[in-house]
Amino acid sequence: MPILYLGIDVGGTFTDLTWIHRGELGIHKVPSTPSAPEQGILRGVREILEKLGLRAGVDCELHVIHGSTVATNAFLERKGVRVAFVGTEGHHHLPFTRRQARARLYDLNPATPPPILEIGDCHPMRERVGASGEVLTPIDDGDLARLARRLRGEGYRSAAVTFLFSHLEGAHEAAAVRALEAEGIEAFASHEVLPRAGEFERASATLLNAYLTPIVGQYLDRLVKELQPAVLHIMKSSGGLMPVEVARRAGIHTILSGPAGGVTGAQRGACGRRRILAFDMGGTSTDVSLLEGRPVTTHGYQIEGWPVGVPVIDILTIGAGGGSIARFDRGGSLRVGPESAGADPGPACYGKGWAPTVTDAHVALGHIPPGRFLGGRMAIDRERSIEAIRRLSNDSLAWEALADGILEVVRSNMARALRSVSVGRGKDPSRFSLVSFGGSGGLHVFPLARALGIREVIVPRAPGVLSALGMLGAAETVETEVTLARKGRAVDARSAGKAAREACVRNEERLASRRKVQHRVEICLRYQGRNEELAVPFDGKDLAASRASFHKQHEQLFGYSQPDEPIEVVSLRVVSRTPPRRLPALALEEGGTSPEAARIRGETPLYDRGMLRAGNVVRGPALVIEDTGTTLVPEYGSLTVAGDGALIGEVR
Amino acid sequence: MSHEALEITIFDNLFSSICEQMGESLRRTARSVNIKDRLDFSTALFDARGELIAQAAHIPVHLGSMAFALKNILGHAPPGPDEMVLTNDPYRGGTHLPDLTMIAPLMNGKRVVGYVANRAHHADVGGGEGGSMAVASRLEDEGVVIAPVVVFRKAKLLEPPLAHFFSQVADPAERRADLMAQIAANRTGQRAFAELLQSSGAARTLERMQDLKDYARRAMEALVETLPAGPFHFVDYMDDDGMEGRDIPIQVAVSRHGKRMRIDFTGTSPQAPGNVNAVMPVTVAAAFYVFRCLLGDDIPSNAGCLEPLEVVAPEGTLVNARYPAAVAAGNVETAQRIVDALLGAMAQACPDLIPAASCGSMNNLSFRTATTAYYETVAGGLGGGPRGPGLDAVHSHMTNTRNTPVEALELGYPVRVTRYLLRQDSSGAGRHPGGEGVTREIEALEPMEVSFLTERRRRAPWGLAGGSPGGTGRNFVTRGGKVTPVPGKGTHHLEPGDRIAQETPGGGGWG
Repeated sequence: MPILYLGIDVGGTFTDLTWIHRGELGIHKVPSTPSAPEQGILRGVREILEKLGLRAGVDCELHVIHGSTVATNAFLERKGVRVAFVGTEGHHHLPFTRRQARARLYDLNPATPPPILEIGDCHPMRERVGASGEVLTPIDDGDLARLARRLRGEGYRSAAVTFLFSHLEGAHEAAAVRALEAEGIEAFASHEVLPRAGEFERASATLLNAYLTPIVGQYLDRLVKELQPAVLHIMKSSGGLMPVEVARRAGIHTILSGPAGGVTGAQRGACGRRRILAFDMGGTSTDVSLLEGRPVTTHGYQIEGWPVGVPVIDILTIGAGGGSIARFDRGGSLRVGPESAGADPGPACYGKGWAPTVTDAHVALGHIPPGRFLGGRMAIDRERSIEAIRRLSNDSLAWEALADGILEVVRSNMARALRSVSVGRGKDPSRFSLVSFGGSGGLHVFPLARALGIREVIVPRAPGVLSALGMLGAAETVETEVTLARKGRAVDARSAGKAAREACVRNEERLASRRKVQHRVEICLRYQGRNEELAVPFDGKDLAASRASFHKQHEQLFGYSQPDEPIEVVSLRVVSRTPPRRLPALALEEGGTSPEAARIRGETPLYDRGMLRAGNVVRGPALVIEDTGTTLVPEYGSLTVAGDGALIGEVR
Repeated sequence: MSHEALEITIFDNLFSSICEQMGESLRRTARSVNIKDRLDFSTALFDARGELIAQAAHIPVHLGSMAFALKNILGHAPPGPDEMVLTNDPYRGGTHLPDLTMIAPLMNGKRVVGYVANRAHHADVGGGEGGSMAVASRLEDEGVVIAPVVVFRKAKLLEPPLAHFFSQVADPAERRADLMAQIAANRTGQRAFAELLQSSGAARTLERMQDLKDYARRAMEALVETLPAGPFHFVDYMDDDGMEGRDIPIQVAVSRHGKRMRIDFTGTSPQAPGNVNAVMPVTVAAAFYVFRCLLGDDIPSNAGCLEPLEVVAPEGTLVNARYPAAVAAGNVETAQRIVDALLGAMAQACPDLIPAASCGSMNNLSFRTATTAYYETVAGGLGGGPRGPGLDAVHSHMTNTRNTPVEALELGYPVRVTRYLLRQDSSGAGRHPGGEGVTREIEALEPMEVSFLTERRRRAPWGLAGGSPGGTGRNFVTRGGKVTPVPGKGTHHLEPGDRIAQETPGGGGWG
C-alpha cells in the first residue's frame, strides 16, 4: 500500500497541512480551532483525502507528522494538572529555592509569575546519594508506600521526583516512581527526564513534564482515536520526531514543537546551504537561530524562568515584529518594541488605533502597496500610517526620516540578536546565508545581511507553511545523555566507549523504526574544574582524538586553548536517528533571466512572486510581492529565482 | 531631534552587545565556581576619559563603581596598546580586595579611544585565617593589595607582578585560570570593538559614545524633575562591625535642586574598626542603583545617568572610608544598607514606587581548607511593594549572583549540603507581604575555617505603609550534635561532621 505522509502545524490562526503523494508536494490551509485543535486537524485531513480521492487504511497508509502547541499553551495559561514534587529531605523546596538570581536587575518590585505548584505540594523523602553516586542514606520502601498513599489521598494525578545526584544513581528515584504508580499517580523520575548534573534544572524539567504530560496525553489520545488508522509522529523541540507512544510520557519535549519545525523547514528551503542564520519575523516577535549542517540545540532554554533542560533548537526570541510600537523615551531616544499593537487594534494603517508601528513605517515608505496586503484580503490606509508617524515626530523631523529611523532601530534590535547567536558563539556571520521566513522577514533581510557582513540571503518558497514542510521532512530521533563524571573517579577511553555502545543499543530499542539508524556520539569535555563543557565527536575508542578536537574548538570559540591543562570527561551524548525523508523538489518552470512577465507596475519595480520563473533575475531597487509577505530588494541587492522557487539574493 | 537621536538605540545595541560577548567569554572560560556558576562578575566599555558607556547587566555594585578604577588608572599608569592593567585596591577605585579588575585599551590605529574592563570576584585573595571575607581591622589583613600594575603584555601573562599574590592564595592555579579568563574577555571586547570601528566608521562610533552619555543624562534629568524638592531624611543601621561597634547609623538627606539630586550622607557614623566600611565608589554605586531602578528598564546605564546625582559623603565615615580601614563587608553588606537608607528617604518622595526593605544582607559565607577556598552569598526575601508581594529566595539590590548547585558544590569541595529550604515563617506581613528567606546548612567533611559576614541579624528589614518587618536572620554552628547560635559576623573552626547553618532574613511587608 502506498504511504501518504502529512505534515501538520497548528498555528494561532491557521492550521497548515503539507503532504507528499506520488512524489508530489501539496499544501493546504484550514482555520485553526484553538479550544480543540484536533477539530481543525481532522477537517484538514478529511479535505485532503477527499481531494486526493484516497481512503486511509484502504488505498494508502497514512502517516501524520504533527507539531503541537498544546503543551506550550497549557503552560502559558497554567492549565497543567495538579502536581506533587517529591525531593530529597532537606532539599524538597527546590522549585522555590531555584537559582536565587532575579530576572530583572533594576526592578524594585518585580511581579510574581503565576506558580505551577504551591509550597505545600513539595514533599520530602528520607534518602541521600553522594557526589560519587554512593548511597549515603538508603531509601525505605515503607516510607515510600506511606507517601504514595498520602499523595493519592490528597488527589494528585501526577508527580515529579527529583533526588540529589540521581544522574549518577537513579535507583532511589526509580523506587519512588514505582511506589507512586502503584497508587495510580503518573510519576516521572528526574534522571529519566534529564540525566545530567544540576538539581534545579533537573527538577524544573521533571516538574514541567509532570505538569504538562497528562494534558498532552489526553490530547494525543483523542487525536489517535479520531485519526485511526493513521500512524502519528510528534515533532520534538530538538527538531526530530518521536512516536506518539513516546510523546505520551514526554510532554516537555513538545514545548517548542512548532518553531522547531520552522527551523528544520528553513534548512530544507535553503537550497542545500550548510551554514544558515534562520530569521523568522512575525507580527509581535522575531526568532533567530544558527544552523551548521544541522540545527544547533541547547540545554539552556527557559520558559518564563523555568529551565526546560531537554535539548531544544537554540532559538533566540526578541520582541520585534511588524506590530512593534515606536516611541521616544525619557531621554529622547527612539525605541521600537517590545510593546506590540498586535492584531487588534493593530498598526495605525488597519484603521483602528494610532500606534505607529514597524508596519506603518513600511506602508508609509511604500514598501507594502495598499490593495496587496495579505493578498488584497485586508485594506490598509497609507495616509493613516503617515499621520501616525507624523504625530510621533511632533513635526520636529520629516516623517520620511522618522520612518527610516524606525526601521533602522528595529533592525538594530534584530541584528543584535543575530550577532548574539553567531558572534556570541564564536561564529563569523559573514560565512552564513541569511534565510528569511515569516510574514515580515523579507522587508528586512537585505539591510540585516548588509549590517552583519552577510553576502547571501535566501527567501524559501512557500515561506508561510515552512514549519509544516519542515515536519514533513523530519527524522525520528532519540537523544540520551550519560553522566560519566563522578567525584574521585577518572574516565578512560574503554569505559567511555562501553558506555557509548550501551547508549546506542538503548536508543535503538526506543526507535519505532530501526532501519538504517545513524548514531552521533559526542563526548562532553572541559578543562579540569571549568564550567563550560564542549561536545566533540567520539568514535568510541580514541579519546585522544576527542581531546584534540576539544582544544581546537575551544580556540575557535574563546580565542585560546591550553594544551597543557588537564581535561576531564563530563558526559556522553548520543543522538540516534532514522534517515530523514526526502522531500520531492518544488520544481518551478524555467523562464530565462528577464522577470518582465511578473512585473506589475509602478516606479519602484514591483513583481508578483507567483509569476516569477526559475532563472529570472530581479535587480534592486524592487519589491517582490506574495500573499504572505513582501521581499524588499534595495539598490545594493539582486535576486535570482532558484530551480525550486527559492529567491536567492546577493548583497553587493 | 536630529538624525543622531535616531542612532542612539542602534549604538546602544552595538556597545552593549560587545559587553555581552565579553561576559559570555568570561563565564565560559573561568574556573572558579564563584565566577562560572554564580556569575559574580561584570563587564563594561568606557570612553577615552574613563567614563562608562555601556555594560552588561550583571552585578549592580560593580557597575556604578568600575569607573573609579578607570579614572584612577588613567591618572597614574594607563595600559599601553598591547598591555592590560590589574588592580583590586579599594583606595584606588576598587571596592573590596576580592574584586579584581582587569583593564585593556581600545585602539583606533595608534590612538587610545576607550577601554574595556571586567571585574570578577575571586574566592580567595589571601588574608587572615578566615580568608578574604573574614572580619579584620586593616586592609592589609584582608588579603593581598594589588596596586594598578601591568600584568599582561604582548599576549603574555607577566609573572613577577603576580608572584606575591599567587604565593598567598590557597589555589594559585585557579587564580591564574580566572585571570586568564578575565584577559580573554577583554580580548573578546577589543576584537568586537575593532570590528565595530571598521563597519560603522571610527568618527561616527566615537561621536555616538558621547551622544549615549548625553542621552542617559537627559533621561535622568527628566526623572529628577518629576520628584518633589524635599529634603527627605532617613536613618538606617548596621547591626555591628564584627568587632565592638553596634547600631552603626547611615544617615541620608535627599533633596532636589533643579535638574539635580543631592544625596547627602552627612551625619553617618565615622568609619568603624571592623570591615563594614564602604569606599566612595561603593556608595556612589548604591545611589546609581536606586535612581537607575526609578528610571525604568530600557535606558542604558552609563556615566550620563550619574551626572545629575551629586553624592556628598564626608571622608572618614562609614560611607567614604579612609585608608587603612578594612572594607570587605562595605561592598557586600554596607552597600545594601546604603540602598535601604536611600529607599527609606525616597519612599517619602515617591511612595507609589518604593517597596519595603528587602533581606538587606548578601549573607556571605566563605570557607578555607588547607588546599581550597570557597565563597558564596545566600538569597533572602524581597520587600513587598506597591505593585505586589516580594519574591522569595532571591538576591536583592546590589548583587544578583546565582547559587552554587549542591551537585556542583559537593563535587568540587569537601562539604555536604544538609539543608537548603525556603524559610517559611520569615516574611513580613502586609497587604503585599515580603518574600521568604532561606535556610542553608552545610556539613564539613574536612577541617576548615568558616566565616560568616551577615547582617539584619538584630535589626529587621523594615515594613512600609503599615506592613510588618521581615524576620531577622539567624546563624548557627553545630558541633557533636549541639546547636549553638552564633553572631552575624565571625570565623569558626569546623571538624569533619560539624555543621554551619544560616536562616536568612525575609522581606518587609507593604501596606
